[in-house]
Amino acid sequence: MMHSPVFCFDLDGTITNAELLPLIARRTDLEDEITALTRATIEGDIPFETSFRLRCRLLADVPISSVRDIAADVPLNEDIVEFIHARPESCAVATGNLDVWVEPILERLGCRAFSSTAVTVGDVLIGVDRALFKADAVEELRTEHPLVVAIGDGMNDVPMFEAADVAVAFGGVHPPAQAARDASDFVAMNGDGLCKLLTSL
Amino acid sequence: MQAVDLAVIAAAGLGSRLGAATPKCLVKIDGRTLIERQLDLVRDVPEVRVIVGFREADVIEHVSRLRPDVIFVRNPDFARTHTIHSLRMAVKRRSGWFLAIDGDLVIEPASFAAFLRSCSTTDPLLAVGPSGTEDGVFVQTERDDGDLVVTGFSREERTPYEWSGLAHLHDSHIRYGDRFVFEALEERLPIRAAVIEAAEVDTPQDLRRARTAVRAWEKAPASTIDVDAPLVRR
Repeated sequence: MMHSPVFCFDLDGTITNAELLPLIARRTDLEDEITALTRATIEGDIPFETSFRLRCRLLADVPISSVRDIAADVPLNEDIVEFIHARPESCAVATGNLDVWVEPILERLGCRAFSSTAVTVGDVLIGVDRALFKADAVEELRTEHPLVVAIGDGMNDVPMFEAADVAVAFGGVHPPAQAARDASDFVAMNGDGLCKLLTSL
Repeated sequence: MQAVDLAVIAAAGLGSRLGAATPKCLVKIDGRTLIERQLDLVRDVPEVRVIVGFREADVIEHVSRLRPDVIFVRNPDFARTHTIHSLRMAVKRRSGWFLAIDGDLVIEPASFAAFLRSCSTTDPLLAVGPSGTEDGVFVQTERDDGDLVVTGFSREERTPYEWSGLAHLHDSHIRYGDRFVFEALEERLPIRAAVIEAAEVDTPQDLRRARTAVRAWEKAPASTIDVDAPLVRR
């Protein structure tokens, strides 16, 4: 008897059809800079945590409530959302993004989530408390599920891929980072193909 | 209801004998790549998986542009592993029947469509073609109540038909230790067979032969192939 797996999804660029941080950056005068940092981070040219702390610093002027409004409207991959809604107990999100920012997205998804945590005062972001190491999310899921399937697109998904039983590199928004592809068992390039694969596992 | 719900195309190899550093599935005949022709054949099959290895990023980009819902199965060990290993990876944890297609095959569309219609979810079905490939695997056949049935495989004993590289299989047929599909099926003989018109592209000579075949097919699609008087091509 095969056990049904738990599916651990990256958020930005996997479930969301756009990276969140560059969208937030439009509210500042640093859009190009943040976009360049995001790109370099996905490719692994800058360590995720370093880049993330830096980007959060650059975006700290944007009120948290404004970011949450942006997050609430960010377009999501419809196939993946449908997949999660059909089996919320078997799905999780592992995002390096900040809990206070992505909460509106996670509410739309209705599954459990692991994220980085923020230090805040009122509506103001002070800094990053703890950046999520995604392999930790997989290890925690493994205590309850014998088989963990990880889905992501970027360099910071590689530790999650290595810890998971099955790794799927997803290229729905842009081709997956080479390191993510190299660490994967399968590559899916749209949500329809991805969900056909996940359903078969 | 269509019996075939998954097609797996083994396209990890490099065409070393063709002499170019191009993945074999990206080799073109009359402007269309081998894999583009295969994707066209399986356009009505709901799920397609392509096994990638050599220059996988190029193959993924090309294929996903033609059919975005294709699932890519990575076999980074493609140079040291055989087809069966790749197929095992492709259907890991997925129980059921699937169509296995060698990535270096060019298949005449009407004969492929007839093969698809003959697939069932009770027995495996092998595609055989008129013998002609340089290092082909010959198949021994018998007639069983009008059906063509494969009773054996041989590298030496020349017969009118050879194994083509196309089969409808169940995941349970794929065993550890085997290298090729025909080896895995040996213990399940006799197996039903259907005749297809196909050309394997392995050497520059094969490529020329395939190009000639494709042009001939376009002029005159195969209607029925006379299996009782098989054509032996040399």
